[in-house]
Amino acid sequence: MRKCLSAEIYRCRRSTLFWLMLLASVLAGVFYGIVSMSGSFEDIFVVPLFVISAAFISLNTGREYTDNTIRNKIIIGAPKTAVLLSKLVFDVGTGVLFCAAFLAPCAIILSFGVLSKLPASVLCWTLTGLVLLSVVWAVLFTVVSMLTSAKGVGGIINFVVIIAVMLLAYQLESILRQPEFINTTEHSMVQMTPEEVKQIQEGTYQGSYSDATDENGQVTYYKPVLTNTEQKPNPKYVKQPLRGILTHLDSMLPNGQMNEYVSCLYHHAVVASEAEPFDDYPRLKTFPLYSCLDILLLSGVGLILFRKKEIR
Amino acid sequence: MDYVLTTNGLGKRYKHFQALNDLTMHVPKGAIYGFVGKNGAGKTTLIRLICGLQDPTSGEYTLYGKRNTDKDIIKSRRRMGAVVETAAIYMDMTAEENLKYQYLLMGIPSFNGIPELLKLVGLENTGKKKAGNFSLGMKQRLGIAIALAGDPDFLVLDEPVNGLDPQGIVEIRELILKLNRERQITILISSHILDELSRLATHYGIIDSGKMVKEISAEELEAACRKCTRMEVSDTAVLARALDSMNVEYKIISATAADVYAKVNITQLTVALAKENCEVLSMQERDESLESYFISLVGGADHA
Repeated sequence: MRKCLSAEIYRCRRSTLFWLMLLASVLAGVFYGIVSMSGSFEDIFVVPLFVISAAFISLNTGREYTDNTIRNKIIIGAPKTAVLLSKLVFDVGTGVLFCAAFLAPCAIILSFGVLSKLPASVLCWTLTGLVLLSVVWAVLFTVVSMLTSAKGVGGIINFVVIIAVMLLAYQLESILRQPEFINTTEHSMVQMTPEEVKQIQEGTYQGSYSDATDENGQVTYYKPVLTNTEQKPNPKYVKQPLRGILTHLDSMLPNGQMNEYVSCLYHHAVVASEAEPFDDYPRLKTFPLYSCLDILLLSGVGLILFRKKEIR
Repeated sequence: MDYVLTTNGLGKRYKHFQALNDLTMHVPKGAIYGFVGKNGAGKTTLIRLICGLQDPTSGEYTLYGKRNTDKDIIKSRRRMGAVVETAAIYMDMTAEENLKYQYLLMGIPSFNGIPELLKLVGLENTGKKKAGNFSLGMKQRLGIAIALAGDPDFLVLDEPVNGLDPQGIVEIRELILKLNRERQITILISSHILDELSRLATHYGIIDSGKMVKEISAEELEAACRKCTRMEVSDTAVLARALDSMNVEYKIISATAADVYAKVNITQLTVALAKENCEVLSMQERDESLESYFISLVGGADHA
């Protein structure tokens, strides 16, 4: 595996594609830094980093099949396990490098503004989380690219997966953020007092009202008055055990984690100032474990399937 | 005899298509083994199996005595190099960079052998030219150089002259002969161009529809294709005496048939045979070309 890896690094240094993607990561980081200066930290603007990683890995691995150079590794006796593992290690390395190239300019730009408001613990957890997410995506893209022999098909599948995961994460977030109870209110309309009618006529009345004109042309004003407030169970609230399952699924999805990270950053950059970070975001500490689980699962599936793959 | 590669009942099935069917072959050490077959006969499939790119569905093969199911087969693979179908080279790297990559892949610590290897295949002057800009012949030669990077003693070449111009074919042929004679490398070449193989091969394996039809040495093939007159007589013993007295080379095929390899005076011969009451039943000139021999084998297999 070490030999395969050193050969990959040698090739990468000479690859125009690699340097272009590295530059693209820097530019994406600059852009993200600029749009995040207000503290919004929109997760949609982190997606280009993963698109860059997908493009590089798909094209770089796909070329091995187009040029048939993957054969050389197997013909000289390298086991398929070693071939895939070396590819995984290499692609994870490039994914982390792209992530670092993205974060560096972003950090420099944000240091002039919102970065000082973020507690060190939040920054550490978020950075660690983002690096791990880069690793998860790199492993997924590598497995897909190594299993699909066609360069274009691998790239398309990777891009579709990015979008699908993003949409699934948004949907899960929407479901999980539903409150358990919702307030229902009842109102009745009562006639307004002469003072209130005078305010309406003067245009100084604040609040909602309605008027009714009778057959004699006399206008009567009414205002809504709250008569009953009740808390009812929210029909859209998902109960256990399904809630637990969806929470775990959301935690396993890279974009599910990303949503939580950017929410935490936004909270501390704009809303809160001294609140203990993880009181409101307890899941953040579990995300590295989920990322590790993702990496193990994807690598395991990739190894099993690649060993059975027939190379032409 | 020492064999570098043997296969025993090797089979390979792709879904509903049987690409190889009970294939048995033997590649002697030091030979240039010409693997002959029509398009789609199974030549490339066999090469993919012995290179470890795919696994056989049935049967087995041995490489330097190691079975394909042994874990030690990896050590045997390190002694072979292969060019399967097209040359596997990185188009965005130069010839030297491609070889450096291969050296790193094989764990060869020094790049000192690369200039000599490039010179061997005639690519020493390519400089900074990317492999993607090479001609087809140059790409094939670079593919062979990559296959030779680990100093193998068994080289597998899958249709190495496919698509080459006459000059390119001559260059590849001379390179193959040089590798076999100077470095004692055993070479397995698959091809459907018989004329080209006949200038190279010391042994032949003829494959059709995934089955080995015949394995034959170059000497045996030459004998089988030699120009002769097939004579059918009532008594070949009498024929033999008559031909011996005329100092003519012949071969007895059966009790009533013999092949006569030299030009003979037919009147003189028939008179000599008639004196001993031997009748001449038929005489037929045979001039077996390599193609007709191959077609007769392959066509015969279809009807078997």
